[in-house]
Amino acid sequence: MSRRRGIPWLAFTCVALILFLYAPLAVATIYAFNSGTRLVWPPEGVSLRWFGHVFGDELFRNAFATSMTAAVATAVVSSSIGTVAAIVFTRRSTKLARLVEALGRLPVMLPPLFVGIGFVALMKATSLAPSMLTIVAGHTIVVIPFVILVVTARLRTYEVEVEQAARDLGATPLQVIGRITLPIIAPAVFGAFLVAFAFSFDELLITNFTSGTQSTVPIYVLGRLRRLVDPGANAVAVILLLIPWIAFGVGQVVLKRFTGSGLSDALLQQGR
Amino acid sequence: MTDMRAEGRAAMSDGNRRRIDDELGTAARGALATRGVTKRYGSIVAVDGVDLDLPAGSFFSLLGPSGCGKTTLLRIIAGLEQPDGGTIHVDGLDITRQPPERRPFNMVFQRYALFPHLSVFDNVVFGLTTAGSERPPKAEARRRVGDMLTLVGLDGYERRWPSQLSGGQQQRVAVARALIRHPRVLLLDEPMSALDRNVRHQVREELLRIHSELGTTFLLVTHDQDEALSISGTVGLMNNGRLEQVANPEGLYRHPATLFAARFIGAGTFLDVAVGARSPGIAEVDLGGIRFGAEDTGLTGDRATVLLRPEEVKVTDPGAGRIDGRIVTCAFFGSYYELTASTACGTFRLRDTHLRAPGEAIAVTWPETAGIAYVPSAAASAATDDIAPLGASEA
Repeated sequence: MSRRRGIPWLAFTCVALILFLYAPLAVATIYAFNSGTRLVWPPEGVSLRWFGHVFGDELFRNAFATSMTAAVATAVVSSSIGTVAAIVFTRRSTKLARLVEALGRLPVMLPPLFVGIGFVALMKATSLAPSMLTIVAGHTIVVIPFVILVVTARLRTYEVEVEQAARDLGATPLQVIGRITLPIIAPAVFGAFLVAFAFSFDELLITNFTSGTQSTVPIYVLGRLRRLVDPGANAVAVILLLIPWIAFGVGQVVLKRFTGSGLSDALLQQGR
Repeated sequence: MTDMRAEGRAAMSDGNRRRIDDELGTAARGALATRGVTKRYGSIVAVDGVDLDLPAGSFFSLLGPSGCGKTTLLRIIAGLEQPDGGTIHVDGLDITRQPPERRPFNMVFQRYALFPHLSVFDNVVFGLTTAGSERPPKAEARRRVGDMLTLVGLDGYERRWPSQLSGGQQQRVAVARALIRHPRVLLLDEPMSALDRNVRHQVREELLRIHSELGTTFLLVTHDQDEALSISGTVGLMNNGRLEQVANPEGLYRHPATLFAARFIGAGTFLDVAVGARSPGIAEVDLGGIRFGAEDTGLTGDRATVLLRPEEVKVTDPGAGRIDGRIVTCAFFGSYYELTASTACGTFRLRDTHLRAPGEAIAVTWPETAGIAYVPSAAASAATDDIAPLGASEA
């Protein structure tokens, strides 16, 4: 007991860290529910007027729709391609598969700015117009390695013998994937889907280069902050914060319902 | 043992048994043979030209130390590995090139490999719903799952999850899952290695009962000689990818064909002796002046290694035996004590019914004709402590 009291530095560090991490979040959230028009301390009252204000803005509604579409598309595309890739990489150990696996991981280390500039160059070269397609492509490139990482981890933690047992019981290779592999890795795939969704929803850097005239929520909030600093920007920030959380919560409920184990189990323990 | 098996058989209703017999209708099928099966991993030859012959309905064990190629051979038979050479036949049909889902075998995996996302029912019924299966109507499939769970003693467990079962129960589910397809041969890969000792005993009885009830050919792979000797009708001893000896358990224990077999199966004393006169079947051997007759396994040269089983060697008073010595260790095994005694001619391993204190002066003796003489291996000469583990195996 006395030994524990002897380390005030530990307590100090913890408090400082938590403050440092969460103070901006707390301030932004508090101002989002502020009823006043200026960002002054203390806030003048509690209201939802800034959320109403933001949602009343057609520009925001368009940006929100664009972001949602891009995020869902990115999540679908990247989790499908990433899952297939992960299955191939873990079940085939040819040199080619290993090379492609290494190449597939590389984009994690690419600066988003580089990806963005690359897309500009590519669009110029191919006279491809910025569109939803280019937004989704840019996000997918960066997020696929995460999908591969998460799904591969799950594929490597359960026994390959389970798949061999299915073969032994008369299943074709395709049936093994459909009835054994995919159901077992489903929580991990769904987790990766949500990570991709959340990443895409608040991605700003690449989107800046690939979206053209379309505005996403992050681009909208940046443009709005350039013009004026009001609690409306904080409201948008809170929306940006909540969307991935809501997605995670829905995922947790859905998975618990269908597989008996939640998303947090899938992401945290990655095993049986 | 016999009693328990009979009891188990009685536990299954007559109707049940008749139905299973009808569906099988194949008691005579299930003869498995391999010819020259070979598998290499790089420069290592894991399986080296193995010829196996399992008559239909037999219970055959592949026994051997880890790395001897027995599991690889089983996986080749199951179709999970492709052999580099040789063929596999079932009831005269060459199935070497068939994928696993089309072979008339089913396997019980070492760690059971139950489908973690499926209930016990769905695990067991799986083999009836796949592309390569007969796909019976739902009601019949349900009945057959019920029959199988009855057979392995897990009635009413249909809705449990694999993670809710004990190791022994998971193993039974794995057996039921494999048997529901009425395989001509049931392949068992170290099925008891993950079980506690007392559960293992129970599972052994269960497997024997199921085997006698169904008449399916069983091929079991194990490194545990107690398991192999106590459960199977025939044992194939493997070493370095080759079949060292194929015999019934008693034959393997009493007449190991090679020095490797002698060292691997059971316990014993190994003596380095000089070879004297040889008559058919018996060689006169000389252990530092002590002469006796030993079974001749085709000796060449003038030296031999003789195996004496513990039960052949007796303890007597000092001076009254063939050679004097002192007790080194005395271990209690219930109905007997296992002793080691050091003598001028090496360490003897023997059994006695009396407790003896370490250091006690004794003599050891053995009959006029005892033991088996082998051509000594280059690696091991001299009476040696390099003997099989204490208390291993009573056949």
